[in-house]
Amino acid sequence: MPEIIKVQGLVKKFNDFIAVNNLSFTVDQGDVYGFLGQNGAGKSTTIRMLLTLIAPTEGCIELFGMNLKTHRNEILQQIGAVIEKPDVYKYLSAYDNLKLFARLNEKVTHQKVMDQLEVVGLASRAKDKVKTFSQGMKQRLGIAIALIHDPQLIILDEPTNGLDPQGIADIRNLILHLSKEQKKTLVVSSHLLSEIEQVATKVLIIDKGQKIIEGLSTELFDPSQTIVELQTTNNSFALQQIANSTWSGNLQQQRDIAIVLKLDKQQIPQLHKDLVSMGVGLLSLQPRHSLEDYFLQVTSGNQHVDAFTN
Amino acid sequence: MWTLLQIELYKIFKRPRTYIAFIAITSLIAIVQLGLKSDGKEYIEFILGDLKNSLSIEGQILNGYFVCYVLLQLLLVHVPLLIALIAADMISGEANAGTLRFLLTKPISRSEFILAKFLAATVYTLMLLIWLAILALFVSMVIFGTDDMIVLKNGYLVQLKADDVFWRYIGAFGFAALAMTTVAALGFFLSIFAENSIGPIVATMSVIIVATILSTMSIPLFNKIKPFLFTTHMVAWKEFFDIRVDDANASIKGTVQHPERIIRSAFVLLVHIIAFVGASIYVFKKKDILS
Repeated sequence: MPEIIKVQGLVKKFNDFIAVNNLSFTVDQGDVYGFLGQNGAGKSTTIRMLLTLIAPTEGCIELFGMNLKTHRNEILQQIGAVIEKPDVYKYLSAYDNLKLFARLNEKVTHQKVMDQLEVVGLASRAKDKVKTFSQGMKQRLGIAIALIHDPQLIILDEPTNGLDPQGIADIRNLILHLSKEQKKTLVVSSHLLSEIEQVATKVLIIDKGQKIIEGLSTELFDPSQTIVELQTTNNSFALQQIANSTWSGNLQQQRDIAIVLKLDKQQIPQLHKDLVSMGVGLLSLQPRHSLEDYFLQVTSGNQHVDAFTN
Repeated sequence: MWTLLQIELYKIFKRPRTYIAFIAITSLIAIVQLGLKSDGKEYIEFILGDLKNSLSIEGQILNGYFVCYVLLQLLLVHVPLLIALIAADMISGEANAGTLRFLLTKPISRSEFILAKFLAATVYTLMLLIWLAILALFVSMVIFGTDDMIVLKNGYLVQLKADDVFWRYIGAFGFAALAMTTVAALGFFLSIFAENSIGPIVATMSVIIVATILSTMSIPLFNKIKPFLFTTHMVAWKEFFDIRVDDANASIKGTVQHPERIIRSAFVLLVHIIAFVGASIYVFKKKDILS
């Protein structure tokens, strides 16, 4: 697959503060590239550099095989982006906003604008002023603006921020639709692993501006890497029982209030059955993906979790 | 570029705030015209002072041309505030609304973006002055009629024949457009540094107030910088209403007393506009968009 984005040695300094530190990654055509990191990790700064909103201190960015510095307009013509919350002109209608932004790329017909509003479910509110819209509707309008010129690459920075569960599901479905049906390449940033897990084909985790890990979702979200957290009425007794059972090899560590095991997701029903038969008073059994554990540990400044790195 | 300008003009004239300036000018002119219509004679006697005892003036002093001159003297001091409301909001308003980052992810160069925005602010300024001209000159001509125009200068009185006035107003409004565009350029430049509109609007007015004070104070220290202040040159439109006289002290129709002053002032204002817009492009091209 041809490379759509190639970033090498990207650095951004704001005076003495290093927001992005020697970051390199590539995004291939057709990828849904999940860009993960806590708030302030450097995701938005990186995305803004990809869109020329911020100038890199060092490093090289290539998109569609062209240098971003020398082919800016050519590259941006092929990108649709929504950065954080999609702010538009509140005193204009959805139709006027969409037409206005679309004209910055190309001339658009009335029908094309209406079709795009239909796609994001805003056709019936086309003539209403945006100041009457909910956050979810503004988000959908922002995405319509990003998509109307049919870009090859779509960049969505924290697209589900401030949305209700239905809004989040709508955005997720839209991302999957754009990827699978329209064969678009997407970069989606989020601070929530669960969001990225459901849509990304490739994942990059950054923290303090540095790459922590990059890989295919199929590898990083491998079901055999599931972490199960147990809370019991008597953790010492439960730990002893598990250590003496066939599950001893899955035992990872005992935390303050929980016992942790690493196993295949399919083994969870059997574990539950065995714990009951061992007489363990089970308060909760919580499966968590190992990557989530890893993500939380690393991005909160702790050591790597053995379960992932072993 | 043309598309960008169209978009910017569309945004300006779709925004309710834009019309505040037009409403303000309409109200102010209407108030002054009403006042002069009802008590104009007393006003004329007041401004002529002792001159009315030594001069015999025939005809209608309180005519449309005279009223327009009074209005321009009053309003051209306040119009900069109305221009700053829009010009100083051009970039900072977009940053505050969050639309700046959306716009700049589109395939348009930052230089073109800045130029289109400045041209849009200039068009707004010109529209405001055209509106001012329609109300202050044409409406006053309808209400008060036309006759020879009397202009009171420092220590002397200028009389302009009725058929020698209109072109002077075209020149005066043209010059005022240049002066107000300078204000727009200053407000525009300051708007690049802020992420809300209030700061640049207040800063623009503050610069104008300080520079105007420096321009009008006769202190040797300030006299050296006066020629370089744009506020010194903004009032040069008045030069259009001073006529040249021949050896017999008779007015020469179609002339102005000091055309070189108008040209010099226009040049200084033009240099200011180019400097402010050039600096805007330079700063904005290097600016990180963090809003």
